[in-house]
Amino acid sequence: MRTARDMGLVGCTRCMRVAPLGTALCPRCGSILHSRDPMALQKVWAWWLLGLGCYIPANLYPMLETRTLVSTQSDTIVGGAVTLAQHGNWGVALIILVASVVIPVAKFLVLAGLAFGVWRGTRLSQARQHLLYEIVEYIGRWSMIDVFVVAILSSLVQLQALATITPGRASLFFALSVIFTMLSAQSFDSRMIWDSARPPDDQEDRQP
Amino acid sequence: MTQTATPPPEPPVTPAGRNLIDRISVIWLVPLAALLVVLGVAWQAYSERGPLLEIAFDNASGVRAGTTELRYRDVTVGMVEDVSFAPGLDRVLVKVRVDQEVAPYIDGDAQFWVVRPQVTARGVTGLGTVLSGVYIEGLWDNSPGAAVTQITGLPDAPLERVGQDGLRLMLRAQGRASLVEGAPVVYRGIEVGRIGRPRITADGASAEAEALIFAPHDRLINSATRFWDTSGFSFSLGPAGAQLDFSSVAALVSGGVTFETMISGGTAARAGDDYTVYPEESAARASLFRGDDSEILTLSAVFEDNIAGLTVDAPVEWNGLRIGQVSALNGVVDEDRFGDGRVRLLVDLAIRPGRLGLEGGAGRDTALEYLHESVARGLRARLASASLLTGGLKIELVDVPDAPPAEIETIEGGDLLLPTTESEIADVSATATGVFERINALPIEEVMAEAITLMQNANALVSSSETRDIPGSVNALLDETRGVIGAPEVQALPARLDAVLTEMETLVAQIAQEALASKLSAALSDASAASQGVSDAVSGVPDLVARLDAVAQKAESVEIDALAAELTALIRSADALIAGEGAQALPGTLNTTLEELRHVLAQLREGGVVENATAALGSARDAADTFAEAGRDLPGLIAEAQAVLEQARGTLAGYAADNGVGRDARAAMREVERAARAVSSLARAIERNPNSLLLGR
Amino acid sequence: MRQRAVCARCHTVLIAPRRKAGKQLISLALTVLILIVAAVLFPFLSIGAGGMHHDASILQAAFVFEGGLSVLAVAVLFFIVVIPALRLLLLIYVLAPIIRDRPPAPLARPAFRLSEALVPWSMAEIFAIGCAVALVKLSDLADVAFGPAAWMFAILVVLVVATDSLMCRYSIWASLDQ
Repeated sequence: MRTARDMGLVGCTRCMRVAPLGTALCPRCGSILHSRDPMALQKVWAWWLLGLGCYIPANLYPMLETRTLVSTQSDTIVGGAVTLAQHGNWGVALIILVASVVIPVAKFLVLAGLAFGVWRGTRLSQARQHLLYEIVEYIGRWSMIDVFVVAILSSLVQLQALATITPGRASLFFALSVIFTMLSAQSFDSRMIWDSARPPDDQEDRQP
Repeated sequence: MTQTATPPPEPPVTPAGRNLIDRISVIWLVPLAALLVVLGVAWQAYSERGPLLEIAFDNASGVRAGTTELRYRDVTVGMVEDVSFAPGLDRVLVKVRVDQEVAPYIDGDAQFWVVRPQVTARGVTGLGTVLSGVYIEGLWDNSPGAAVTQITGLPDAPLERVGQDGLRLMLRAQGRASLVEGAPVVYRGIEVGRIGRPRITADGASAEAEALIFAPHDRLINSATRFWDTSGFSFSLGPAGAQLDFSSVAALVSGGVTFETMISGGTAARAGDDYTVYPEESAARASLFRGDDSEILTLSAVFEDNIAGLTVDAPVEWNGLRIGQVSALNGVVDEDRFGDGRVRLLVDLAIRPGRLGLEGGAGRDTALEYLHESVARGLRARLASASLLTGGLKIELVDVPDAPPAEIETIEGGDLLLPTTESEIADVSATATGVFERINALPIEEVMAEAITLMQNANALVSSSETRDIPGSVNALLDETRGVIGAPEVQALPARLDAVLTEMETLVAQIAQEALASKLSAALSDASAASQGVSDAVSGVPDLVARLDAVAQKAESVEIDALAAELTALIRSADALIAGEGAQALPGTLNTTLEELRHVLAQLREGGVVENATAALGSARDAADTFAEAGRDLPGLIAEAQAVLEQARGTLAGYAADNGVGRDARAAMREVERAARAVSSLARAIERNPNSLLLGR
Repeated sequence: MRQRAVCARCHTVLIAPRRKAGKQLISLALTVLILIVAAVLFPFLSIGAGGMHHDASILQAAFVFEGGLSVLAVAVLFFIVVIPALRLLLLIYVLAPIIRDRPPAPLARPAFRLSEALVPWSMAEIFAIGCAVALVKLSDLADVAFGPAAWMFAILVVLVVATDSLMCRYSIWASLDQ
């Protein structure tokens, strides 16, 4: 299968237009053109680390502070889901757990795996790697659901003494974590997956 | 690779749109529809929102924009939109967006208040607001009225709640009775009403509060209903033992009022009727038998003297008859009227027209008219001694024959001012002598003399041999007597006796002080002449006429004869008893009895109050002795006095019935009769139990 | 022009230009814009429990993050209101000349590029799902009622998704590339 680069061209990831190799800016949309972004992996790892750094306090700080008549309760992300499950709210608990734990953790793992695979090679097939990347890029933003739930709950449940919900500090860290992992995923140049399957020498002499 | 190699077919070409409709795509209907829907929703929201009502509160504690609701019958009908200050920062303006459907009903009569949690002794109200925050409650009638945009909120919930119709009364606290806002009106343990915010009456004399008796309990109220205060508790020691009395812990703490319709036949109560709240049930009950208390004529009187001793509830008497009481005391300074800046005593008199003994009903107007007439003839109010021992004062209405002309003035505030005359506040010691001298005239001396005679006879009998045969029943009787004498009440004898004496004094004083007494004296001058011999016998006693008066009015009751007869009969029967067969046990018992009697007499002599009176009693004995001498022919004297009285009555009857003097005289006669009745009841008491005079019971 | 491009690798249809797509897109975008404005202005959700009542609008939902979290308030507001609206405005700006066969508006290309770059950050549909989750969470705790804004937001989300799927990026780029 021939890539654009094989044909001496560089494709614009934004507007899909192809231009001769060496063109700096896309003639149509003005995006910066890279046949392969040399900084891609560094950007991926930088955002990835930031995202992970934010994800840890996001799980340690309380996400929600619920003040009811009798008690004040601070729930972390996992704790909140566990509480929900204990109350028999399995569906919601699952959604929260998936959106706030499974997806972010999987995203970190997949991104790290992809980046590592591009760097060191992997046993996964190209198609599998592409699929994973597509999933990560698509699903990343859905983690924001937890932040929105917090926002809605906190704004709605303002029943004075009966029950008041205020967002905790974890919400900010969690949102930042989601944003950074989205940026990390966007920084990943999926074309590198193609290259990783080729011999390194082939890669190098094709480098512009 | 599915890409077709053939060139794309040419699209069919139609001429460019010739008219507007062809050129405009149907697709634009979508945003248009969205726009219409949005505008529709907006218009609906705008058109459905009701008017903005501005309620002014003293404070808006807990009221928050966007959260605090306006409720009517516990249904939310509005929402607070804004909380701000009125110009000048003295009020808080709460702007409430009212639902359109209720807006027309909110007119000038609507009431608004903030419902907050309240913890009182009666319980917790508005508990819901602890959780939900406060809300504003509205109350309005169900008829649409002129719209208002600004209204003043109430500081507290009004008395009536929605769905609680009832009877509004005005409760007036009397004496120590207290009215507490929001306190319940309890009937047989059930809360049937509520007391509103108490306030001081315009004259400052008492507190009054509106009360609402909820339907259907309002039918329990009629004109014979009496209210009393149930707050606090009473502790009494009585014949039934110790008694702790309080109606409920809640009432104990927060105060409450209960009521009972004590006699039947009252007329249905009307809204706004006045009721007195008595401090306790007994006072409430007693009020029932004080005649028609429903109407009160309030008069004022200003006294030059500002003398201690007059208190609220002090009696107001006319011809010795209590016709009302002092309802308020105030100092008054009025340079314009009195010419100097001295403080004068302004006394409010609550006069019960029913007591005046007027014919044809006893309405206020009748009474007032009559008082006007009387004042024109010389009726004046004065301060007088009510009790020698306590130095208490009372108000007397007296006729002053040569008084400067005066009339009942109407002063500012609509009060009626009764003219006054000089006070007659007796010198205590002087009066005391008079009292004791007057006591001389009382049958107590007779009884004592008789008793002494009896004892002497008994002594004589004891020494006689026949005493062995005295029956056991006499022993029992004597035992009882001994028990009576040995009873602790004997300790109180001096005080009791003093009370009797005081009563007597009052009695005598009443008669003596009556303006009519002088006339009666004149009428009785014949009696003086007739009883010349008696006068001579007691020459040097200036009060003979007074005593004669007393005797005469005592004689008015025929029972005194009966008393004498009874006494004689008693003595005779005692004699008979002593002379009887079963008297052998008598000597010992009688001795004991006599010992105790002696002891009692010794105590009497030692008693603090009577100490002063020993001399008087001594003179009493002297007087009694002389009287006994003179009274050898007591029946004759009584007959004479009776004749005199008859004559006096005839003289008095000579006055025309409608004539004021006649009326006075009749009142005086009534008074004399009353006094006589008192004496006769005393006589009856003596008859029942000869010891009662001695022992005071 | 009734052709379509299919991916050589996965056979997904890459390009399927539709002639009237431009007008449809603009009308959809206009509709969504109107709905966004309305959804922000009208009451969104209301909750009632224990006799208490509380309304929340979308703006309140965003501004619930206070103090140290106020950065997040701006972010949320951007994700659910500003970015979707901006994208649609840009789209209209780009497409309006094209459907009238006029030359592209100045800066149309950077505008469309920005619009495309903003795609992942437009999270209106995620917010809608978040609402659903929150409501399920609250349903047994309190009575939750939808305001007009909630219904508008639901329609809006559907339309945003429809706009995205209807939009042929290739054709737009192609028409801009002249």
